[in-house]
Amino acid sequence: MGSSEFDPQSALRRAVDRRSVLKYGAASAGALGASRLARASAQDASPAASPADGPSDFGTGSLEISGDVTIQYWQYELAAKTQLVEELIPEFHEVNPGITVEHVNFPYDDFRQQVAAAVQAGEGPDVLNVYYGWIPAYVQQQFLVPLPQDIFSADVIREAYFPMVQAAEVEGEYYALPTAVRTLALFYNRDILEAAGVEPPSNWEELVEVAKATVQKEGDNFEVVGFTWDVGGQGHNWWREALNRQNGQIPYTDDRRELLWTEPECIEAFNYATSFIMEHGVTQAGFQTDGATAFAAGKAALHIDGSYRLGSLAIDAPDLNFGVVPLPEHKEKASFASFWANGITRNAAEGDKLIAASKWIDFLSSAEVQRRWTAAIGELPARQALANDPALLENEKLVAFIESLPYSYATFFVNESTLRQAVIDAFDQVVLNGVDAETAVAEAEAQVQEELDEYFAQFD
Amino acid sequence: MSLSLQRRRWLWGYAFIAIPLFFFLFVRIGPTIYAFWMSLHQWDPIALDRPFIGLENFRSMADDETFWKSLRNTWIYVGVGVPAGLIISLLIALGLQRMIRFTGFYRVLYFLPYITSLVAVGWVWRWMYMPNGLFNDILGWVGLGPYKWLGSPDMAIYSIIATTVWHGLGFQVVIFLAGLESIPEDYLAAASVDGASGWQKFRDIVVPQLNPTLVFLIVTGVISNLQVFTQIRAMSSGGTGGPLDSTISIVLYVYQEAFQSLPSKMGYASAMTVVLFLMILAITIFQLKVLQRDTE
Repeated sequence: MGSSEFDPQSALRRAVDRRSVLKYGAASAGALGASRLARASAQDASPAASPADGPSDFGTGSLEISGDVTIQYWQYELAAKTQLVEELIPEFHEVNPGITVEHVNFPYDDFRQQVAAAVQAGEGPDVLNVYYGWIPAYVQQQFLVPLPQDIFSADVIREAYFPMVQAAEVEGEYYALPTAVRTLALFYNRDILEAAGVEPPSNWEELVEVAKATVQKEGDNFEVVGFTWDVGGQGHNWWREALNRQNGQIPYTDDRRELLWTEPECIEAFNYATSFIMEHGVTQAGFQTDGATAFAAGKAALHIDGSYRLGSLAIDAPDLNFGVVPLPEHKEKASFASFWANGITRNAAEGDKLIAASKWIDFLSSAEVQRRWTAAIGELPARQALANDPALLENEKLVAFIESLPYSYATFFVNESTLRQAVIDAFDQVVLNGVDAETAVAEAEAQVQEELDEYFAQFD
Repeated sequence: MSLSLQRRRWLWGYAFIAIPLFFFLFVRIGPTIYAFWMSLHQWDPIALDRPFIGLENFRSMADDETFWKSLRNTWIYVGVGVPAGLIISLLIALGLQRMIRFTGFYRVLYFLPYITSLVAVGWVWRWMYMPNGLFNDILGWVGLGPYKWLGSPDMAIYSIIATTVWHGLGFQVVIFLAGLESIPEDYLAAASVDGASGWQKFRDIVVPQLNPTLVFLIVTGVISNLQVFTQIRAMSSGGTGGPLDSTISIVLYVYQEAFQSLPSKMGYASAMTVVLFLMILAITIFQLKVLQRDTE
């Protein structure tokens, strides 16, 4: 365990704090408290997490359930992920014989419908693997309950995990914990760059230069774009969390309640992004339908994408000769991050189910499982202490993503789809309709701000 | 207790329609009524309470720019797509009717797109519409373009209509052929004897005789264009409604608000489906009353 890791002993001492009594009702807090106190006295002299407890960093090994319990764990279908979880469940069961984890999968495209349909029918998951951007909405709907603070202390999470994980925090409480995270970096086509005699770019100016040097046109038609234009893909994230911050402006206030998109630095960053089309003419929208397809087809020199793209490129374009570098920086370094995280739903809000769910989440986010997860799935560890793992750094294509972890930020979405659409529309207004950036961005900001105001009104 | 013959027949009749009736009540009509009910609520399937808000959902449509855009677009799909499809398929049917050889082959050729999955069709056309795709390549040879097609807020909707027309052509051609075959030869022969020109025969005999066929194709064409969804979703990146919502239809917007938005605005989406339902109902009644008339 790293120095910043959690001390389970102190959690045990905080067992019956008033907060949890209020939150989960007297019965559940009593159950949690009693079992903890029993263990606490027995364990005072011994090291907290014995190996027999299995992977656990939040000390849930000491919590006991009163009888056998079954919890449903839902996650979307991705072969690598479902396979690993299938392997992990028996290991978890071995150290927690009283807990049965039912693993339910469904296609990603149906995610929200499936969850909604199940919940409306009075069923659904106890532990849900959820895209972090949907957490605020699920919190508003009181579908996710806070992770028990006496186990998953917010301070500990803030310290042990990379800063992006704070996007899973709403009004001071964590609602989900990731096993792994993803960041954005710049993919470059080695062959195209070599043919043009240029090196991968590391700052804004170089990005323009390399894109200009590598673009290939025949008349008005592009043969190869210097840099992919994919606002609907990662482009909107790139502007929001990377370009703005790189230009010295965090795009919202510290409490995340107010957008600062119309600050001059953000407008400047926006204009920098559109200059690739409007000024330099090195790219176009819809080329090869989308950026990832263009890059996989070897028809794009530079492309911004997430670490998960490595996996699909290995399958779709095994012969593509490419490398990955961190996003070109400007005044500062910054990148966008995203993650899937495990949260507890209101189905498991109390009693044995809450304990079982907590144990399962503790297990899934333990350092040991994170290490295996990274190896098997190619996502990056969420815990800071694991980022320097030499085994991880062996994969040269992963290095750029790992390097970006400390300065990668996840957007706090109140409604992911409308925010995304608002930013896409702002770019389209400028690029297609010749509207000036201030007007287009102000319109998007007003639209999203209205939703933020509505959302935060519930806490005031 | 013995039943009279009359009553027994009556019972048997109801027994036979019981299952279809059940199906219609619970699978078709039930959900429709339920949607009316949902449209009066702030309905989110995951939320704990779904407050009754009266006509608020309908009122908020008035200020919703995207709703108006989707409404306008839907009428473009109908107003441009239906006539274009009818004219082109009638021309093809007239041509095919005159063919002597390989008629079967040509009919199969025109019918093939119709049995192809609309998602696959959408994706193939999306590739042809790409900035560096087939259409721009061909137009480039004669010095035209390049055009943005699906990437342009002005052209995108017509690009999708072209795909829809192409996809539905085979069905309409076959129906027209059946209609043409059923026009008695005598009428045309008599007109020829009277010295009618080809155009006169077409205008005064063929078109009136095709009236039932036309009504059928217009009604089905209007309904399917009012419900257009799949091709828009397949042909725009990320399943959005095209650049600046220039291709979004009512049904796509309903889908986005109900299933893609989180938190889900299912009540609002239901309200929009109610509006769509009333539109389709009104148009269909109008078409059946006005267009359907007996030919002499």
